[in-house]
Amino acid sequence: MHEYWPSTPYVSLLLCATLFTAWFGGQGPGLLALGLSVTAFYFLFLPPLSADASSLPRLLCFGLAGLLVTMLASTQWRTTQSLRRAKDELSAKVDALRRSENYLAAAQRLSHTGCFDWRVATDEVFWSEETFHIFEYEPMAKLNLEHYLRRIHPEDLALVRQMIENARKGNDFDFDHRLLLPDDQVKHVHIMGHAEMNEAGELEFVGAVMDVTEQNRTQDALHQAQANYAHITRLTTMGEFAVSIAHEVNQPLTAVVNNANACLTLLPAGGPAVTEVRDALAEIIDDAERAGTVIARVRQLARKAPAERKLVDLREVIVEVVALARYESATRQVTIQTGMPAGLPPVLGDRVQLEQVLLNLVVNGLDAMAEVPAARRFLLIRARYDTQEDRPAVTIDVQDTGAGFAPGQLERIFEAFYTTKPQGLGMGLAISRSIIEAHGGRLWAETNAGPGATFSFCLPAAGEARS
Amino acid sequence: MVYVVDDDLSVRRSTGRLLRCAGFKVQTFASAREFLEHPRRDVPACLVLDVRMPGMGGLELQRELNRLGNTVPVIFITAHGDIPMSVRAMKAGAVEFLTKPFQTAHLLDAIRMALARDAVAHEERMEFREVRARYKQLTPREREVMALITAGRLNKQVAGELATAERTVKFHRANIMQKMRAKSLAELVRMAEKITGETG
Ligand SMILES: Nc1ncnc2c1ncn2[C@@H]1O[C@H](COP(=O)(O)OP(=O)(O)O)[C@@H](O)[C@H]1O
Ligand SMILES: [Mg+2]
Repeated sequence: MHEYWPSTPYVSLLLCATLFTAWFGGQGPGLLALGLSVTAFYFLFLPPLSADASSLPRLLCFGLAGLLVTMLASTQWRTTQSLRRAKDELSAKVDALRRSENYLAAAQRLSHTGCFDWRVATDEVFWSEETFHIFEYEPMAKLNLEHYLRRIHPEDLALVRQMIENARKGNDFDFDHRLLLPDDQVKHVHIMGHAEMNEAGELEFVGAVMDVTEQNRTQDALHQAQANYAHITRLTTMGEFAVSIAHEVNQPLTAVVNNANACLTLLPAGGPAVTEVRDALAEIIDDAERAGTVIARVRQLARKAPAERKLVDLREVIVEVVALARYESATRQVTIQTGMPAGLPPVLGDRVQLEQVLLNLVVNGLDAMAEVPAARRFLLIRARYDTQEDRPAVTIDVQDTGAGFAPGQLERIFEAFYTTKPQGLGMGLAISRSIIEAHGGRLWAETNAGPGATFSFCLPAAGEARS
Repeated sequence: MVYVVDDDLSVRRSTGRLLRCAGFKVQTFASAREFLEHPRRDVPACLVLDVRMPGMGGLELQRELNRLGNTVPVIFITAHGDIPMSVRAMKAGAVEFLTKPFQTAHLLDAIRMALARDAVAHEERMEFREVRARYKQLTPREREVMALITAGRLNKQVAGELATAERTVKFHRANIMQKMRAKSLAELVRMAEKITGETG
């Protein structure tokens, strides 16, 4: 007779194994474990069916109990699974949200722009991280309008209060003011807000505040630089203006002296009337010569002020002038090209004056191209090694693709007060020429083979070429 | 003859008048071009030149004249001069550099000096032209002989070198002296120097 183990403790063990398998593995593995358990139960704990018919109900009982356990456990497994999935999805969403929040914060930090929300009824406000940063507060939960008002520059407080009163009536706002921070630092902010009704039907502003301190500073520096340059230009222009005027006045003075002298020569010796005429002529000559000396003195004064004599690298002059003209050339859609060989020798002179000459030529070139289609506006500034009266020199050419000269015009452009422009002064080229001649150089103009004109000036080289 | 080149009408006109009254012959021009294109007789002359003119300026005209071999003395007048400019002008051979309005006496002095200078140069120019004209009348053979005798050769040596009789050389020699209007051999040598100095 076959010996059988006592079945009860082992049967529950088999059921337990099935339960665990279904719990952690799901329905499939659970059913497999059940099959194995039923087989094991049959072979280990039951007499063979052929020997004992009562084995069948016991086997069925065991099978049904096992099936129930498997079903229960695998349901539990499915629930766990779907819970886990939901949790994963949620955390992915949270991550995405956090990321976009980080982007927003970074964007706000980079653009120095914070946002805010203001409930008008309660004066509660909400700030973004960057807003805290701009107003220099540690982030905190409870905020109201008073926190904002505490940071306003005293001189701007009246303005801000007025804007707030206006906003309370539901008007959008957009204005600039200053902040005075606890460390006495002053900031400039641009603030704007848009009125909305929230779900509760209350007035609420959503807006942005931008720190424009740095921007303002840059702009101020730019204005300052421009003002300085304009001042220098005006000074040198005044000087050169005097020189040009002197030139114009000296011509008629010369004629006066010449004619009076001619009369003196022609006058016969004779009576008292003739003597009187002779004296008058002599006085005319004296006075004209006196006027000449006054003008010579004015000229000397004008000359003395700015004329510096230093080594100047003309390539630096070109770079500087192109930078100064950048805004002008961009708005007029002109492409400026430069050509500067290395190793050009320096020249001796006044850098500001030379820059003024080049700037004049560049502005004239831009003017000349006003009527030309934008695609054909080119200004070429070129420095080149040259000789002047067999001595080393440097020449700068400013070549445009503009209108060029009308017949007979080339003869007149260097005259003082000659201009063809409605707003023109006609002094630019006259002054430029006197500056260049005072530097021992020459300034001239030529008509291009193609369209436009080329203005060139040549200055004696000073010293050896620098590389 | 005084040439005045100035683009300013009143300066040009009055300078012309002044100089005429002072007894000079005057011609005026409104630009460097006009002056260059105007035919001029070779007489003792000087040029009163404005530095700054539209188109070709005074300094450029001076350079152009130098290039053409014209040595007419130049007096610059300018309403706008400075020292480096005047230095350059003087180096290029200017007589004087006056600033407008100039003292009449200074201009007249400068012109007298320039004319005196050009009178001497003019004399030389005329003489040279004369000598060259005479030289042109010589036959090729006579020129050969002249080259040798002015180089210091004796008649006999010349005859040897040219493979002719000494008598023929003597005959050529007499012809040369007569055609060149030279009173002595020394004078002929001077003339030869002038001609070869020019061509060589
Ligand atoms: N690049 C150029 N192309 C054509 N004409 C020019 C050019 N530059 C100057 N001109 C002419 O020369 C005149 C005088 O120029 P300028 O002395 O600078 O005085 P403004 O520019 O005040 O007219 C201009 O009015 C113009 O007719
Ligand atoms: Mg101009």
